[in-house]
Amino acid sequence: MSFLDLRGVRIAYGEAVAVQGLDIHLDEGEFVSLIGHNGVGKSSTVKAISGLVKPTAGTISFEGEEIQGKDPGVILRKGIAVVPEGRRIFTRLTVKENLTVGATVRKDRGAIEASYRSMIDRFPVLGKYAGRMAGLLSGGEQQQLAIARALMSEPRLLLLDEPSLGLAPQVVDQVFDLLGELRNQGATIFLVEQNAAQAIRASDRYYVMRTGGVIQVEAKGGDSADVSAIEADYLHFGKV
Amino acid sequence: MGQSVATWRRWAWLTGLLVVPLVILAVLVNLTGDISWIQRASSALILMIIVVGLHTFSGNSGVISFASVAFAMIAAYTSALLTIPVEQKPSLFPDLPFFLDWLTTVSLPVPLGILIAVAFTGLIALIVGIPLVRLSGLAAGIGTLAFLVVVTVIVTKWKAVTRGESTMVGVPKETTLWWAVAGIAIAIAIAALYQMTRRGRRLIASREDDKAAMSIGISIPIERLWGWTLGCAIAGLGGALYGHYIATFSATTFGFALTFFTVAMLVIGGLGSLTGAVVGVLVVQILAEFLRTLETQGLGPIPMLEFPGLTEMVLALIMLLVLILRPAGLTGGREITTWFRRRKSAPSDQSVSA
Repeated sequence: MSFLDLRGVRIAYGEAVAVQGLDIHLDEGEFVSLIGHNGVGKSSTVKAISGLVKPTAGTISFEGEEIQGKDPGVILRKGIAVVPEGRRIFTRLTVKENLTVGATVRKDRGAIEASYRSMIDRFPVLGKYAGRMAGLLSGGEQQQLAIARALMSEPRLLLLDEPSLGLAPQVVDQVFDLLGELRNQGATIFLVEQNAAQAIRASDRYYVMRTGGVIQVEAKGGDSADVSAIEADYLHFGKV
Repeated sequence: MGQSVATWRRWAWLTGLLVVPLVILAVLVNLTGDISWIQRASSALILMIIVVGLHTFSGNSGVISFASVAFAMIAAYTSALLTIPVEQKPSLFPDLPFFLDWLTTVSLPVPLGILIAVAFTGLIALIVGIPLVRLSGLAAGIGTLAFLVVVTVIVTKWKAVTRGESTMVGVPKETTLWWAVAGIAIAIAIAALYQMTRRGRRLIASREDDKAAMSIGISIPIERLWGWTLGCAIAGLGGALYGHYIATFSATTFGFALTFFTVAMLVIGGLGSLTGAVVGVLVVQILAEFLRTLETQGLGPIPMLEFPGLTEMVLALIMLLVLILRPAGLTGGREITTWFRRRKSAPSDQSVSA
């Protein structure tokens, strides 16, 4: 039994089919990436897993229990948190408030405060600007906040939707370093990215997705992965 | 409530910065001894309570409501029914339905009447809120407007209890300028506290980005229901105080005109902040007084303008201009406290906004 298992998932918005017949699986402790062009249905896949979109067919199981079509809050309580595309932090709340609302599904105030302390240890910049409106943070800092906010719910599976989008290259490196750290600490990560090269190197395994949600490749990631072939064949990004 | 010391400090600052100037204003107006000014100040402060109630829901949730005045009306009638002297009741309400017969033997002290009216308003808000808070945008606007229509029709037609289109009379006239000051202080303190609690923050988060809020497990209908119930109860406080201020009123007192005024005040002041609610009421009241004086008697060298409805028309135009040119209102949706904080921390802010 896989930790997360997508079988024959179909996602459609009215007549438009975004994803068709998608099969993906993920084991506990794994770092798996889903890469592909803009518009192939990667974000829809993340939204379906996190409950923001209801798949029109297929099953999504988490630890053997079917979760497709359940409310986002229910799925979060089961242990799946999402870092949404475009960060979507709450700009008019302070950094600390962003983190505490991230723990909405938890009840124990003391434990939430302890999580907050450990989060600002891990992300010192968030501690430094705890009282500031989150909209004042830079793009990279906002991405850290978005990840930290998702971690505040103490998830067992972290979904990330295009965390490198709109960030400067050095900041993207920092984000991937952070994901690497989380992975080394035992986190289970499912990353959706256009930035193929870095995603492939960071992950244990990766899937390449094409239009309509067809999986073309399921391959081993890591530093030794043959990134150039993937780029040439499917993605044409022009840089590694 | 488990709030941190910093939260309480911010609450005290926001409440203080909004309430203290209003108290000073009230003291100054009282010192003039001019009864018409005291009346204007009193009604402005009472109106401000209703607008603060409207802000508590609409400002924090981003969902417009036209129903605040309906709840003000419910509270005004409730408190009136509870406090009118027993000896007047048989002649005022000869046909009370059997389940309200007990009202003929009850005449509560006004503060208690107001308190029960506010609680009752909150209960009604909770019940009608369950379906209403699931609506957003246009549907929410229409839904709340429909509720206002329903309440107006009930109040106009249920003669046995509300005296129908006849005026409600015999209501103890006890609200003074100082009652209004106390009322607005309580309303601001509660509204400020709510928006700083975790619940309030969750509602604000849902206003900013509903999908992101859902993805972190915020139940938007539940958070809206809290804000809605509290906001309507605050509007009820304003309504009950208003009833005991004017002492004779009917459904038209709480009609569309007042709804338009309260929404205009909040939009002009700034929908996103409590400061916006307070500033909006002050600006609109001052402007309305000026226009009304022009309309009815002229002002200094300016002759009287034969233009009935000038006030409403100018206010509508200003509201349009604000919506087009400054959609976040005069305050930009910011609280008065952030002005101080921004000035204090301006240099270090630049380092983070790269």
